Amino acid sequence: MNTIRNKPAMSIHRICATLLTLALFPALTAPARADSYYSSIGLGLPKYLVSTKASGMGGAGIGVMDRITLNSLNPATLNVQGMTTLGVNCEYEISDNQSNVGSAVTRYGNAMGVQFVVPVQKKVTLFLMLRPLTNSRYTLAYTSTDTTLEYTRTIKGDGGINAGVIGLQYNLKDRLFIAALANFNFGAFNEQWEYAFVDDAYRDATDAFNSHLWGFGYDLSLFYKLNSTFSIGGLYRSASRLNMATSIDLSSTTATESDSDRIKIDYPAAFGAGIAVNLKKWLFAADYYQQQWQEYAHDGKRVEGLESFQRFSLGAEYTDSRSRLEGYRRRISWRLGGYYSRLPFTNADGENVHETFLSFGCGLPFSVTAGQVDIAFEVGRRGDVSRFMYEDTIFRLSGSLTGGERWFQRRY
Amino acid sequence: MKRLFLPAALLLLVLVLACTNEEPLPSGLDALHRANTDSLRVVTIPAQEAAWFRREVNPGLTASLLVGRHDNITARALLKFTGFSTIDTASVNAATLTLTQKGRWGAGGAFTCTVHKVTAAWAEKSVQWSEISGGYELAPLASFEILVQDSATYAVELPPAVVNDWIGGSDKNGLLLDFTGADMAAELGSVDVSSSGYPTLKLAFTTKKGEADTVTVSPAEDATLFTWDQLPPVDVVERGGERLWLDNARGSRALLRFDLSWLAPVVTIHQAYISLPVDTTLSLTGSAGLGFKINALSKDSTWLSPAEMAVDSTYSAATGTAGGSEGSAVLATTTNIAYMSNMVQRWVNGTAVNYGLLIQPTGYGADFSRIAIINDSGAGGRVPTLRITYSYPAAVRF
Repeated sequence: MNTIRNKPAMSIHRICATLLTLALFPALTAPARADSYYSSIGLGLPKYLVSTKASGMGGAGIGVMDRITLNSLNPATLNVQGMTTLGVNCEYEISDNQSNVGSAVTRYGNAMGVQFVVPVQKKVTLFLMLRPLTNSRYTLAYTSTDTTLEYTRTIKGDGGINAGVIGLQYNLKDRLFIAALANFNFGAFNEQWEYAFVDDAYRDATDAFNSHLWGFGYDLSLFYKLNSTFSIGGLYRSASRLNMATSIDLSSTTATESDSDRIKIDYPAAFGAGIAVNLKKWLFAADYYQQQWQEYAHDGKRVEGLESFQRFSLGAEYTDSRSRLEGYRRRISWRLGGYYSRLPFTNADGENVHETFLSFGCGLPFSVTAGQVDIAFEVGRRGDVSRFMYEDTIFRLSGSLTGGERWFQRRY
Repeated sequence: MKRLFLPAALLLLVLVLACTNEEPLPSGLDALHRANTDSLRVVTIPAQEAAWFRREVNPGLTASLLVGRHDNITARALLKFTGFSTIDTASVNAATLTLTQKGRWGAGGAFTCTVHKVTAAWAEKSVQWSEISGGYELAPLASFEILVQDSATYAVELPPAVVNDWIGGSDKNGLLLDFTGADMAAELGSVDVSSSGYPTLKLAFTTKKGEADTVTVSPAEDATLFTWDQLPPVDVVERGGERLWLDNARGSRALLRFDLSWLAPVVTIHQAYISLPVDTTLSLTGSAGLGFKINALSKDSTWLSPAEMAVDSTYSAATGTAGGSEGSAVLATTTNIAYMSNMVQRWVNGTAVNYGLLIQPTGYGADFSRIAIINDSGAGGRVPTLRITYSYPAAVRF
């Protein structure tokens, strides 16, 4: 088999895509969620990203194969049909964080990952991804009520774990696809503790803690098309032992102190499964995903108060027509879904914090069949102020742009 | 496709830069899974050690001249005029010494001040009464009355022959302001202050051409000479007493040490507020109070030899003013409180060794001010204290 280059199309678009990817890289490694108290625990809030299309369907997509959807959780479902494809995702979130003593509305927007898929052989597809695994962002403040000594103590925290992924998808049999991924997990967590006094006669102070983590892991996933209607998917993500080094800069000292003792953090394994039902105009999908956060450990010591993360997703998509010859409105996909997830965090009674979300979305094709803009809107609630520290009401808008071009032309 | 990537990138940029806010959540800091999330801690500790000692006072460069007697101290003043060679004169016909009084110490009555010609050489930076007591002419050149006033100007006519001798080059050692009996002291302006009010000598003379002219000259040097009825020896550290002395005229200063060894090196000192209780019955200051400064000692933890003690001049000293009628002396300005806080922070984190504090007046020789710091550790007593507001850093997240 030989390949020839389609040079005119490739050169311009490859440069464009490369530059965009490079430009987005710093943003992609940053957290992309509004503040949440719960994200201050452990490695933060677990991220669950299949695709923006799936986000519109309650996050269900492990068992869904779609031409223009780049599935971050189960790459065995990739179906780029010989097209080199690039996808970028972003997210904007507003969170109304309510506690027993008050509330605060926080908002944040950022990138949410990038996927780059290259078909290298008829049955083999190479993919590179950058995807978030956890995120953490919070600002907490305490203001003294003592009028003789007025001050505010604030902690600002942010960070998260991301995975740089390289993997291969292989079409093992006509209806069976498998994928293997190597993950380089990396991230940083920063915390800044501040004292600010009203009276200038007191010294303000800031202590900064910066932790950097890195480690390796792998994913295995599969997709099996039972028939023209039913398909299933599954994945297993290995645990990852993360190395961590922390630098400490205390206001009490003039020099930065570095903690040279690295500790190990066990990022837990996860698995998930999904099923999809493809009808003529309808797609139904359901997923289950679980991550063993009870296995999360520092230097081999498990952290108390964490339980498994579980998520149930259910969604549907309606597309009036998939024919490129039809009018544009009929080719738009409309999505609806919802999910319930049990977060790893527990209260003093051992009850897990939970999330319940409804989602809506649409897929807007462009360039005939080679590209699509996906938009998802999610609204839901995290926690319950009667039982937990916070109740977060969240509005989340996700968007992704996916485009493909035929970079290589097969010659048989 | 490329036409869509640019708007998408711009949209992303807008989301990142424009749509993000940072607002603290209303609660939860104290419930974080971290150690040391609690609030500030405030503790007041007494001085672990306290002492005082005195050193020689050399009041030549102070902003005032003192003449009279107060607080068992006798004060005399020296004035030296030079530079007459530039005057084109054949003969001085009249010489008028003008002195400006800017304050008084004591409640006594007026007294007579006598002006004497000094024959012994002296230098204002080091002169002591012992150098002058046998080196002046006992017969006064002139005299005038020191008034019971807070401000006054005295014009004293001097014999022209004295100035002519100086112009001729002999006995250019100036004048001594002395008295025979006084129960108060006048504070006169010194040449070592840039403002007006310093001594002057106005000369009326005839030039070599036979023309009448005048000139006013100011002293090249002046100094106050103290003699004390009783005085502790210099450089002897007095420990265990119930009073610590800061004394401008006697050269007294205090030593304090606070035990900070119980504080962890990682602690942040937000404020170290020193408080010195003052015995108002034994203290004496003018309306301006007694200025003092606080330095960290850089060596000699034993305090055995004041001559060996050195202050850490790397950092700014905390300064304050103590009033003799006030119950305690504190550092009033935020800057000086910060200097003190920084000093304690250096001790705690180990940047500097805690050899203790040296508290010394900033106006040695300038006046008769003194402050008695109470150091009575008995029941109901008061001692110098340090109120420390501090915090521990929170634990690392992981």
